Amino acid sequence: MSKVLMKGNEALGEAAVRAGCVHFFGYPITPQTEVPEYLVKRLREVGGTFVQAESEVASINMVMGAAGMGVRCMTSSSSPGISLMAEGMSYIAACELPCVVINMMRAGPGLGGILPAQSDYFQATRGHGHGDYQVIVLAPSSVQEAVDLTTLAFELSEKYRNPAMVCADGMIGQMMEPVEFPEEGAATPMPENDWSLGARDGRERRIVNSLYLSPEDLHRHNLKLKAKYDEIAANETRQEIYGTDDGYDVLVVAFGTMARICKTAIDEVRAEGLRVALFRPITLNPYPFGALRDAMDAIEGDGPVLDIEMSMGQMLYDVKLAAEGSRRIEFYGTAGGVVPSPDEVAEKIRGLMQGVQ
Amino acid sequence: MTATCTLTDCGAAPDVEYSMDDYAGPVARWCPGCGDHSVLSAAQRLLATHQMAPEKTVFVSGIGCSSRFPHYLRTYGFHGIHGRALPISTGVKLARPDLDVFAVMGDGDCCSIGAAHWIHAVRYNVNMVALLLDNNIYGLTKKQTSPTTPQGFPSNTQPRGSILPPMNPLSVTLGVTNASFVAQTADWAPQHLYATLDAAYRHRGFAFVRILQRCPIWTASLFRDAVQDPAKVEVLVHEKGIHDATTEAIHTNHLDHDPSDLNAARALAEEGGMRLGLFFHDPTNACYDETRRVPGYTPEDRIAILKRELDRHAV
Ligand SMILES: Cc1ncc(C[n+]2csc(CCOP(=O)(O)OP(=O)(O)O)c2C)c(N)n1
Ligand code: SF4
Ligand SMILES: [Mg+2]
Repeated sequence: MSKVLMKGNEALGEAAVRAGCVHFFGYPITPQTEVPEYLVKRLREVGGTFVQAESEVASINMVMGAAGMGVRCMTSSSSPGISLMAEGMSYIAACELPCVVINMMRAGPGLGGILPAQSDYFQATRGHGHGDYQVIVLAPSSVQEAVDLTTLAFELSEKYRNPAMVCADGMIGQMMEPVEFPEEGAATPMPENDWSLGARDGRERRIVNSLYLSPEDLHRHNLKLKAKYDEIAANETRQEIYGTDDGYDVLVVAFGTMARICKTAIDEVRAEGLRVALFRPITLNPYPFGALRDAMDAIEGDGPVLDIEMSMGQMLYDVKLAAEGSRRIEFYGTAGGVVPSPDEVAEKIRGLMQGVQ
Repeated sequence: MTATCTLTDCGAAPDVEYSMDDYAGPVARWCPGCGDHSVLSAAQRLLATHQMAPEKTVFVSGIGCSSRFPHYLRTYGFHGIHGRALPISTGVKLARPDLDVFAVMGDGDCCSIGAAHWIHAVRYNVNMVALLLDNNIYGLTKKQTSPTTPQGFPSNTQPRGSILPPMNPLSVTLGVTNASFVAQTADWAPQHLYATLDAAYRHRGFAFVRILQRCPIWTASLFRDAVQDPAKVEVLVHEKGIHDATTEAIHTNHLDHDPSDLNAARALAEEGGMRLGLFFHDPTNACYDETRRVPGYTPEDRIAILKRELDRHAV
C-alpha cells in the first residue's frame, strides 16, 4: 500500500481497524476526540461497533465485557479520562483479558490543559490502579510509529492477555504525516482460546474472575502474573539509539514527542562538533533498562546522561534505576503543555557540554 | 463597593448594599448568543436581590462551556471535575452549612458522566440550588451526542443522528425518592428564568432547575421554533407555582398544575413538550445537611462525653 497523508489520531484509528479491532468504547475528551470520530464511520464499514459510553468508567468496563468475549476491542482517552479507568484496568489485568487503551496525554494535574505533555508516565508505567499488575506501554514519536505501535499493542495484548497502552500526546495526535498501513484484512481473527466466554456447544463452563479469597490462591495468581511480566520484560523491550556512529560524550534520554525534538537538537549540536547521542525507549513498560545501561556505559569518559521530558521528571526514576549510581544524571523538563524547541534543547546540551570538555 | 479605612472609621457602611456590578466577574467568554450569558445575568440579579454576601456564596461547577460560570462571577467559585459538581457541592455544604451553594452543570456533566451523583444528590436533598444548563449537546468538546440530544439529531459521534430517545431530566429527577423541587425554564425567557432561580433559592432543600439553553454553534436549530413562536411554549400556572406576569403575557398557552401533586408532576414531565414552570415542590422533606449536622458541643459537654467514654474502660 502506498503512503497517505493523515492526522495522527485518525491514523491511529485506522491502524486499530487494520489490526482487526471491531469494538470501540469511549467518551469524548480533547485532544483525542478524532480517534472516536474517525472510528464511528470506519468501524461501521467493517461490521464493528462504536459506542459512546456515558463516562470513561463505563468505557473501560464495556471494554472489559467485550474483551471477556474474546474479541478485539479498545478504548481511547486523554489523561483525566485515563485516571477514571484505573479501577477497570486493574481488574482487566487481574482477569488476564486483552485490550488496547490509547492515552493522548495532555497537561495535568487536574483538568490542566489540552496541550501535549508526558506527565502520565508514572500513571502508565506503574500500573495506575490498585494491586500488583502492569500494563504494556508503547510510546510513538511519529504518526507512522503510532500506527506501527497500535498494531503491536493488539498483538502483545493478545499474546500476553494483558492491557496494552499506546501513550502519545496531543502533538502526535494532531499532526499530519505520510503513513503506510498494513494491508486491510490481513489481520487474522482472534484464535479460539481457553479463556473467553460465549456459549458454545459442549464447552466447559468458564468464569471471568479476579476474586481470590484464599491467600494461597491469590499468592499463586500474583506469582503467575509476575512470571508473565518477567517474560514480557525479557522479550519485548524496544528502543532506538541515534547518533552513536563516532562515539559520544553525552547521552540524551527522551521518549515520544520529546525524543523527536531532541533528535533535531542533536543534529544541530553534532554539526558544531559536539558528540551527543540519543537513547529513545519505545516501550516504556517493559523499560529497556539493559539497553539503556549499555548505552550509558558506552559514553566516553565520565560524561553525563541528560534526561529530557515534558514533565517534572518521571522517567527520570527509570533512567536513574538503569544507571544504578554509575553516572551523573541531569534533568531538563517542561510542564503545562510547554513544548521545548530544538534550539532550547540544543542550548541545554551545549551548557552541559561545557563542563565535559 | 470600596471601603477606605481611616483611624476613626473602618470604612465599611453599616448597611452594606451590593449592586449587580459587585457580582460581575471578568467578561464572559461564551460565544455570542450563547444562552449561558442570560443565565449569568439572572444569577447576578438573584445575588443582588437577596444581597448575598460574595464571601458567603459558592458557585460550584463541573467541566464544560457552562461550567465556566464561576469564573464570571465575583462570588467564591469552585471549577470542579467533569460530572462531579454535585458531590463537590455536597461536600461544601456539609462542611459549611452557612454558605449559599449553587451547582452549575451541563447536560453531559449532569446526565451522562455525573448521572449517578445526580440521583444521590436528589436523595440527599442538601439545601442548595442545582442548575442544569441543557443545550442538548457536548459544547466544549465540539458537538458530541449528549443524553438529552433529540433522537435523530446528528453529531460528530452519532453522525447518522442520535440513536436513542433523549433522556428526560425532569422525569429522572422526579423519579428519585426525596425529590423536593423540580422546575424548568429557558434562557430566552429571562423574566421566567429569574423568577425560577428566585423560587429555587428560597426553597429549603435540593432545588433542581433545568434551563433550556441555546447553543448557536452546535444546536442552533433545536430551540429556534420555541424562541420564534411563543405559542410553542406552555407555561405552568398555579398559586403555589412560579408566577411571572411578563412570561404569562407572552406565552398565552397556560396549563394549570398544582406543584404539590407528585403524580401529576410525573405525568406532565413524561409528556415532554416545551413547558416552563414549577413541576414539583415539597418543602417538608428532610435535608441531609440538617439531619447529619453534628451538634455544637460546649467544653462541658465534651468533658462529660469523655468521662462517659473513660468510665466504660474502668477496671
Ligand atoms: C473525565 C473527563 N472526561 C472527559 C472530559 C472532556 N469533556 C469536557 S466538557 C465535556 C462535556 C461538555 O458537555 P456538557 O456537559 O453538556 O457541557 P457544555 O459544554 O455543553 O456546556 C467533556 C466530555 C473531561 N474534562 N473529563
Ligand atoms: S459552544 Fe455553544 S454552549 Fe459553548 S459557549 Fe459556544 S454557544 Fe455556548
Ligand atoms: Mg451541553
